[in-house]
Amino acid sequence: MKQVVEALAGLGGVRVALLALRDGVPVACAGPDAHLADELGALSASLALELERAAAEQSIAPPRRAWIAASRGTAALELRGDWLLVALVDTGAPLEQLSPALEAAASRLSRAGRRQEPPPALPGGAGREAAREIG
Amino acid sequence: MKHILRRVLAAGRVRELERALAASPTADAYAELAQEHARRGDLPAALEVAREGAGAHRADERLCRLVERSTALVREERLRELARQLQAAPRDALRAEHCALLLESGRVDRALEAAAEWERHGGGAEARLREAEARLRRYAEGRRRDDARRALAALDAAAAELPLDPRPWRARAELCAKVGAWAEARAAVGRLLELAPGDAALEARHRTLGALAVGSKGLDAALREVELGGRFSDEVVEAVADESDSAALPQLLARAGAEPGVRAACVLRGATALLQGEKGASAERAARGLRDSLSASRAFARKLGLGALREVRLDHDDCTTALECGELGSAALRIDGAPGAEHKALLRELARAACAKQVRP
Repeated sequence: MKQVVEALAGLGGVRVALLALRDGVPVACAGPDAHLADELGALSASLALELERAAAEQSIAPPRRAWIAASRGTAALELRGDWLLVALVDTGAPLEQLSPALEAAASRLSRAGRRQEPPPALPGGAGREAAREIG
Repeated sequence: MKHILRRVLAAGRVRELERALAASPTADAYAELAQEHARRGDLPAALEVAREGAGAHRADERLCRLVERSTALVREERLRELARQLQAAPRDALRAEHCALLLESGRVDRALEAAAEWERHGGGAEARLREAEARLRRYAEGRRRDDARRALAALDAAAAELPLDPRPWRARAELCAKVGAWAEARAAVGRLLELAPGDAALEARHRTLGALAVGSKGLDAALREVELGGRFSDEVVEAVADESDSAALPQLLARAGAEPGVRAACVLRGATALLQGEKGASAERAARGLRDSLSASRAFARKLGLGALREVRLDHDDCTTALECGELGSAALRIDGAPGAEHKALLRELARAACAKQVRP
């Protein structure tokens, strides 16, 4: 996870890249402004919640990605099931390479998350029978 | 030998371009001469020619760009030289110029660091004034209360050390008037009048502020209001778009709604939302949802110190919501898939119309 975030922070103009849980707790953070991790995590989680609520009100799917461009920088947020990937970028930095990099980072994190998940339990003790057969 | 030959040839080329410019002072002739100076590495000469050309041909974008680029390059060169000089023999005048150039180039954080370093090395009131200047710049961009308070603290410290200097009081008066804390602004102008008794302009300002100060909010309340609303007290009258834009708003919305791929188009201004593409209760919900997304994004940008919100793009599974924000209003488009160049142009046009002086229904 740290490697994914570090790769993102290595892109030109990225001030900080952060992976946080949906409640805003930072998991991994890298970049020159890494001290912002707590603040960025909390604000991103709150923003994600607001955006999802607003999407529900409009009867559309929740956003997968958000770009917030302001006068002193841009924030890119990848909003996935249990986590948030956030990158803060300087004004004037090229954003073309950030979009595929975010996508790639999100895919890697999703794959890593799936590998770590325990296999789902089968109903009615079928899991135990299957395990016995395999054993 | 090769280097000398190249310089002689370049000098010949400059003379040739100067003669061409004298014969026909067109924008192209100015631009070519400025570029030749820049190629030779003579940036001050390039800037001088570009400025002269931009003065003579005000509408020429190429010359304006050359002026901007040359100014930035000259500034960068001076900054590099200053960094060298400060390492070798630091002194107050160099530090002051360093801070001023950093601020001019928009590097507010770096200017703050330079001012802090100067203060550590005995910069005193001048260093605090530079710090206040940088913090005020940051406040103007981000409008966070904390920046304004720190700027005011630096100004107070500078004023205590320089009791006869009007600069801290002038900056304080400007800040207070900007946020609408008229009573504090009046007090600061009163202090300026003590330093320059009889100044007609200051007296007039003092009278105006006196009239405004009756029942005005305190500094803390004014700062809070600016942080929440994102608008200074003097920005309401500074609408820039022309009225023809606002008159075209209904037609623009209809055009946006008819554009292929556009699901809904919306203009938000104050408590009013004009929406094309949805009807009845779903229109109300859509407008409310867009407004909520906008205010959440604005709060996020401001709290993170990213400054005023400009654009928001939300990628959903099957559509994209794009919002563009102006000083007085915002515009939004919901599009199938990713927005194309025509959608971006349309959104910009809608946002400009939303910021017009008067929105006619």
